[in-house]
Formats: sequence, C-alpha cells, structure tokens
Amino acid sequence: MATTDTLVRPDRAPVDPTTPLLRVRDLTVQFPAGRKEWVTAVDGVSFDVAAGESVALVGESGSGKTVSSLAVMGLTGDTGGRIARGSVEFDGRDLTKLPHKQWQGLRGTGMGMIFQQPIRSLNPAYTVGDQIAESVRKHLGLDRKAAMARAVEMLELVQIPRAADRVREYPHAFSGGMCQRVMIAMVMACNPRLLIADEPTTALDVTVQETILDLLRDLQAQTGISLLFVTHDLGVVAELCERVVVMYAGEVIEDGRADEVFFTPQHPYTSGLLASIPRPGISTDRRLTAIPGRIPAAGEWPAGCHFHDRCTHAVAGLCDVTHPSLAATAAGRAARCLRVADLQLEGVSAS
Amino acid sequence: MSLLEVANLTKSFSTRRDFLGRRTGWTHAVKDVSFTLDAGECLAVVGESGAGKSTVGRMVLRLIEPDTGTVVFDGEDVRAAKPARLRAMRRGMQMIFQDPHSSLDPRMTVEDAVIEPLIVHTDLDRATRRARAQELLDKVGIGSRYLGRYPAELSGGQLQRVAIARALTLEPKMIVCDEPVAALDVSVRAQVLNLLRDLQEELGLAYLFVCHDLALIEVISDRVMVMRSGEVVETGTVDQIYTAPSQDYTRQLLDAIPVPVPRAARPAHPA
Repeated sequence: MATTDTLVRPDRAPVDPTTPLLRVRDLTVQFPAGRKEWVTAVDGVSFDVAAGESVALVGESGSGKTVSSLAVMGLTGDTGGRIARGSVEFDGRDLTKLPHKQWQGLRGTGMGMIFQQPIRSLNPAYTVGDQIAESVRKHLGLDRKAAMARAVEMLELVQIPRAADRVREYPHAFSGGMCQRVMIAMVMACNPRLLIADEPTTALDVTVQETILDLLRDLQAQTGISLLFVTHDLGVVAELCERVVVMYAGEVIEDGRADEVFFTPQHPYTSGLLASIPRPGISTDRRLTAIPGRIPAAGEWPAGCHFHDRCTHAVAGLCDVTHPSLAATAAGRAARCLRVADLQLEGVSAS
Repeated sequence: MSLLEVANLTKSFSTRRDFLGRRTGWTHAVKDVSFTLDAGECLAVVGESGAGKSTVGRMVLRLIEPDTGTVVFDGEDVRAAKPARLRAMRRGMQMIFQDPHSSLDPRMTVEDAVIEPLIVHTDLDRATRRARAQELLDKVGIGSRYLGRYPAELSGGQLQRVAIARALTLEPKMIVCDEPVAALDVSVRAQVLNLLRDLQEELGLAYLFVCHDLALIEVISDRVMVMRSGEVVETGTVDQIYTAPSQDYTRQLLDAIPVPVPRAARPAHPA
C-alpha cells in the first residue's frame, strides 16, 4: 500500500528492545465515595506491552479493565478519579510524574484510543475529514490542505472505499463498522506507537466485527504499532492477541502468552470464563457452563482471594483468609491463586 | 395446530415525507415472513442488526402494528382482537427485553414489579399476590432479601432474572425474548440462558428467541430462522443450520463467530 512509507517517522528514536513500550506497575486508581472517602477500583495492576505486541486486557464489567486503560491514557482525572499509587511508564518515562499538559501532548502522537460506540465518539456536526484533519493539524502541525490530504490517505489506510468522496461526508452517513474505521483512521493519523482499543467491536455485528479485527491485524503488520485490546470477549482475543492479561475485581489474576492461557489456564476464573464461551457444536447436554454468583462491585471485594466465593476450588480457612499475590509460575507467566500448584484447570481444546 | 401461526407478515416504515406529510420514502423492515411455533418449542430468530428480527417479535405481540399478514395465537387472530380482548390475550404471551435497566420501572421495587401484572390482570387479594411474587422470584434465583430493593441496586444479571419472573407471573404459554442476554457479561449470560432453558422444561413454555449470536442458540432453541434485510433466508433445526446451512449467508454468519483458540495455535486450514 502506498501509504506505508509516510507512517514511519524519521525523528522516531529506535526502540530499545529490552524495555517494553508500556510498563504499568502497581497502578491503583480510586474514585470518590462520599466526603474524603475513596473507593479503590483498580488495585496494584502491573503489566507490560512490548513494541509491536498485541496484548489483551480481559475482564467482565467491574473488573477494572477500562479504568486501567483510561489511566494509561491519562484520563483518570477527567473521569473523576485519581491515581493513588503506581506508575505508567511509556517509552522509559513515568507519565504519572509528568505535568498533565505533557501527558496530554502524548495522546495522539504517543498513544491513541478508540471506544465501543464509534458513533458517539464522532462529532455529528463536522465532516469526518474535518475531524481527522483537526487531529493532524493539532498534533503534527500540518496546514489545512496537507491535513485534508492526510485524512484521505488515512481513510484509504482503513480501507474505506471512495475515500476522497467520503471524507466530505458526516458521521451519520457511515454505518457502525465504518464509523469505527473512521475512529481508527483518526487515531492512526498521528502515527501513535500504542493503540488502546476499548471493546471496539462489541457494538458491531459479527461479520463486521470480523472485518474490523482483520483491519487491526493488517495495520499492526504494516506499521508495527502496539495494541492494548480491552475486551470481555475471549473469542475476539484469540483472533488478535499474542498475550493476555486477565482482570477480576480490580486486580490482574493471570498474565501469559495467549496459547498458554487458553490451553492451560492457571486461575479458576480464567478457566470458568473459557468454559462459558458458547461455540457451535460444543455443548453436548445443551447447557452452558456458568460461573455462579456475580462480580463484586468496587468497595465490596471479599476478604482473602477476591474470587473465592465464586470459586469451586476454594478451600475454607485458606482462600477466604489469605489474599494471594500475583506470582510468577513460569517464564512470562503469572497467576494470582493460592492453589495454583495443586490445580489442573481445564482450558480450550485446539480442535 | 401450532400455538403461534404467522403468515405473510409485512411492515414498512416511512423514511421521508413531503411537505404535506405524505409518505414518499419507505424502508421495508419485514417482508412476507411466515413461520409457526409449537407449544413448548423454542424458535430462534437470528440475523444482524437491521434484519427485522426484533420487529417480527414485536409484531407478534402487536406492540408494532403490522401492515399486512396474519398472526394467530392459540387459535385466535391477534390482529383482529379489540383492545380489551388483546389485553386479555397478552396474558398468554409475554416479552423480555434486552436491557432490564430500561424495561423495569426504576421507582418500583423488585417485588412490586413482579406483582404489577397480577394487579392489572387478576383479582387476587394482596396476600396471594405477594406470595405468588415471592414464589416466582425464588424460582428465578432472586432471594427474599432483594424483595424491597430498587432496580438500581441490582446487577444486570439479577435484573434480567426479575424481568423473567415478571414475564412469568401470568403463566404465559409463550414468551418473546428480544436479545435477553446480549447486555450481560459472559459468565452471567450462561446463568440466565440456563435459567431460561430450565423454566422452559419445567413450565412447557414456548419461546420466540430473537438473537444476533448464532453461537448461543444451540443451548436454547430447537429450530432456527435466519433473517436478512427483512426476509427469511432459511429455516431449519439447530443441527441442520450448524452442520449443513443451505445458504451462503448463514455460512458467513457461522464463520464470523470468533473461535476461542489462539490463531497461532490453530490447525492449518486445508487451502
């Protein structure tokens, strides 16, 4: 594709392969809960995203996956919360120590984010071209004409047909899948090194979801961008991501390579999530495996392991008392379970 | 004779009107749809957004008035029923919606929400109504400590259980389920689907199950009707649709379901 050469910025420093592009350590995010009281939504979250890697941040509602990703973007304050502890290192710099303005400056050129509802993320009163051009003029300092040319180029990059015409259309003229492409174009226009995608395909039909996943995969191959893919859907993760970070009730409970986590999960919650994915032709007795109970809300996390009251492997006197730490179990793998050595958990089968 | 017989159902919505208010543009949401549903059976209506599947579900209950076609429920013409008769007929056919946060009244307690249909449709006394509500909530797994709670205090999965209990109060023969698990988390979705299945077996309910996810239907349905752009693409048993779909479109829908096996570890496809 002709657009590829313009995506490599000459002034970009070569990436040091030994340090990851994004390094989140002990990230703790709190939200106000009454006067001078704070409730912890994300507690001590650590994970890495290497340059060019695609990492999934997986969890159900209330797990803290979105709060974590917004914290990486420096948007915690805008959502009313605060980063109480921990660091977000991007390219070797701790962003939490930077003045807010500088963190803001990194959004666009350093990292970009797309959301679940693309139609709501676009301004209905401006053409999509104007909106893409706005971001390149602001972040790359291009003039009006060059910015518009860049917008057309970007719409071509995300495989929107008749890009030169469609750049003058308004968001309402685009379908949900096409809007998500426009959002991706807008983010990619400034050559970010990290794309955070928060449930980008959840609101789309399955056939459209497939095309968006293909597009993200192509873009990654072309530009070498790192991807942090926030989702609840392990099926989508398997399509796209090399590594998986599973979150539950504000904590990372498992971290590892996608194939290892899927085939031999080391946390009962991961195993349960994998079992509850419906697949055509899999259920023999026409029942889905369910995890009993529900995710506790922030501030209502039980003592001991946060998952113990839903866990079929929990042992009284151990799991409900001791809070497990995220412990390395093998090279590049970690799990937060006290019984990790005793359990042989079921994953998916390759067939 | 089937419990529900739908023939040649059609609905168009106007998209444009001229300055006199006359319709000048139409979109055909549903075109000539016919199907039957037996007592105790579950028919899944599957398709992507805009396929007309929800419109079909709503027209069956006459929540949306069809343009043409017939709907016969339990031997009686739904479209010909006068308002009072229609209300009485709706005892036999209930509906569960996608988002329980918007389908339940936020100012009504869980118990009152389940009691309300009994006040409208029956002359049971207060104590009997309460007993019936408690029994139903118990059946769907909502404990008595939730009776006085408001919807805002419950999770999505719990609220959907309340919505199911509410739909069951009048002992319907059929429930139209419009994407009842689409808004729920993966682990909770399985709980609610299993509950719907258990209730169907126990109470002999018929479901018209509107759903966009082909992967879910084998758990709940006996037959599948695939729709696209307002028309029925194909109808068959779950096995037929999964193993030998007759239409390319159905094949595409099946192929688009993400497989929970990492790409790198998948067996290579024969080219």
